[in-house]
Amino acid sequence: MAITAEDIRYIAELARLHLAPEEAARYAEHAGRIVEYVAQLNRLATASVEPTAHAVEAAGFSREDLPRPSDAAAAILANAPARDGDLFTVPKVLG
Amino acid sequence: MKPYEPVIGLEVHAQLLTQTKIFCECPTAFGAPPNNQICPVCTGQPGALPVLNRTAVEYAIRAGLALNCRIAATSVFARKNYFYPDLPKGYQISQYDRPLCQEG
Amino acid sequence: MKTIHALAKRLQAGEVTSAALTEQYLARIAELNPALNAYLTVAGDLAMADARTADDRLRRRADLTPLTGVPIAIKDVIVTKGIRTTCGSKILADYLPPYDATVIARLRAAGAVILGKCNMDEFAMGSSNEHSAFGPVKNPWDTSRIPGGSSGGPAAAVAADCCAAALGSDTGGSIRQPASHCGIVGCKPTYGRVSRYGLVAFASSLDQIGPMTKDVRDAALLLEAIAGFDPNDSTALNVPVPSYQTELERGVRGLKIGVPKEYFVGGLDPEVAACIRSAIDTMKALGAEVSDISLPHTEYAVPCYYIIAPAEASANLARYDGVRFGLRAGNGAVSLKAMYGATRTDGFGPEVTLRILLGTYVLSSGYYDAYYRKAQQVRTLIKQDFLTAFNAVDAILTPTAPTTAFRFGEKTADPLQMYLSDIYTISCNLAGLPGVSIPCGFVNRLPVGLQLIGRPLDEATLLRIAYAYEQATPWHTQQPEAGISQPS
Ligand SMILES: [Zn+2]
Repeated sequence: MAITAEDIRYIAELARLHLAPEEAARYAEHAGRIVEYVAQLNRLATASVEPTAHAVEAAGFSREDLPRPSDAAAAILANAPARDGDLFTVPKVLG
Repeated sequence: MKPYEPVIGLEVHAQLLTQTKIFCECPTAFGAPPNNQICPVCTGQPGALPVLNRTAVEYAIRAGLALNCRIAATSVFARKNYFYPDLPKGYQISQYDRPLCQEG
Repeated sequence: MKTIHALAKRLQAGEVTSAALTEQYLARIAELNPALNAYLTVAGDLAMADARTADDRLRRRADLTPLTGVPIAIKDVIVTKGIRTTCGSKILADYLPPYDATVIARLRAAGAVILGKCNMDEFAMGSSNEHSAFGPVKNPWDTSRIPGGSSGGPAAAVAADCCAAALGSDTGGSIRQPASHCGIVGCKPTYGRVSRYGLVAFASSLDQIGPMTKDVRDAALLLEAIAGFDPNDSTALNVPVPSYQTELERGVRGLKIGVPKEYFVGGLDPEVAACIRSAIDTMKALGAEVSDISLPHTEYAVPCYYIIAPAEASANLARYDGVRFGLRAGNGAVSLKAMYGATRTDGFGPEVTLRILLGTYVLSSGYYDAYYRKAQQVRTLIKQDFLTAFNAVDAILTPTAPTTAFRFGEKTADPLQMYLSDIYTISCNLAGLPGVSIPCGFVNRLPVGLQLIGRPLDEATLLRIAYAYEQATPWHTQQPEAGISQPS
């Protein structure tokens, strides 16, 4: 199935990526070829096959509800691209 | 005018009285200063992984039983993707087609 | 050869100090890295501090391990507290992790010295290292050629003796394929064998950390040091870690090795195939029973992977949004959305962008069942192929890569051509199985790798076969010369 530059622009919007028109065309071409390639999976009948989400079957480990405060808060805040005291700041959410 | 039948879904949020957050060991003490009870996991640092708080599951099951739900023997978390500054990983760890409690 | 085990012997006998050794390695990196570009960050001062601590431990002979005082390199996808971790991406160019990955904590506890962080394809997406935001790594055997990817930096660093050994990560072959191209040993453990806490996620259901080493014994001891349960990774298996080293010398007599016919068709270079055939003869001579097997869904592994991996990646890479860490572009952007767009567009390179687009596409409304669910079903079939095969054999032997290292630019124009470089390694990740690549010869002075695939959690048998083969062949003792001088 072909992917159009229009499809790519829509997907890019969902993924929060800005593409120039010629970039959208190039990604549409590459993504289109890959989607065509992966379509060969349709040669396999899989209606009765259970999907595998994780290769190794194991009930995930869970933990006790015991607080263990982290000592990383300062180092985490130090990475903030923009901050106000202990707050991360971002541009206006509502345009 | 066409007769419409209103069908209204309710999204009800309840905060569980656990000592720690659902996917990390940070305390949930009320009234602490902002960004004080944080760690690599709940701030979505690259490489960090969630580990489920068992008590949160227990409380959810209790709520489900109180609401006459069927409790699933196997339940699966799913990612709900969207961008927002209060969503560190860019997705919620949510439940979709195999939730813990349903049909209550 | 400066293997971990050889260096440990010298360190523990007091013939050399960790400080002296670390200095030698730092000097060698300074000399060779301009040509190889294998390291992105050299942690000189911290490494010297690690070395002095290790020397103290060696003097006191206090809980020594084979890693105490030994200089190790780390792929830049594994977070190191206070040492810049970039993932080969502009978006994390200045990121200082606030915590250590579990494997790093274990190396530190064992007394290892961390020399620095190695170059890689951006977010581990690539097979040639040409997708690093910081320039490609050169193959030490021929600097006009790629080292493989995505763990090209660690592979080149090990091959050129710019570290004793390294840790890489493998999502579709990223440890084994560069190991093959650089003539070293690379081991991708069973999914869940090694904690992923602190491994920056590419495709969470496929990613695994593993050793990249100069010989099989080193792979065994490094795996032993990093493997095992971790309460910070709920997918890390709570299963005891065997002593891989003590298993090594048991030989291969009586072991059954299967050779899948589907791996010897199409794009396999005839000279590479000849090396593999000759390795099979060696295995037989060593007493292994070799038989032909079939893995009928082999051809579907690459297409299956290129749905699952981008889908998982598109979600995993959503956190790079300019809010809490990493690059924020479009400063002065009037809206949040404009900031997001500017940051992510500026921060991600073309291959990562392509995979985010693909992943978002296959997960988007209306396409989920047709692509993602379908791929997960095919994943089940691929896994079943292996489980069926393992009813009859103890291990599977294949080429690691279809060719030797190719030239820069040879496959960059067409992503699909690049993807096919991992055609023999991807199935292992889809099925969660352990795989090891070991040197098995040369074609035109370029290394060839042989892959062994094992049952879940049976790294011990793989390493045992690999060791028997290695001890019977000269390949692992050969080192690249290309303008590279050995330190004293
Ligand atoms: Zn937390």
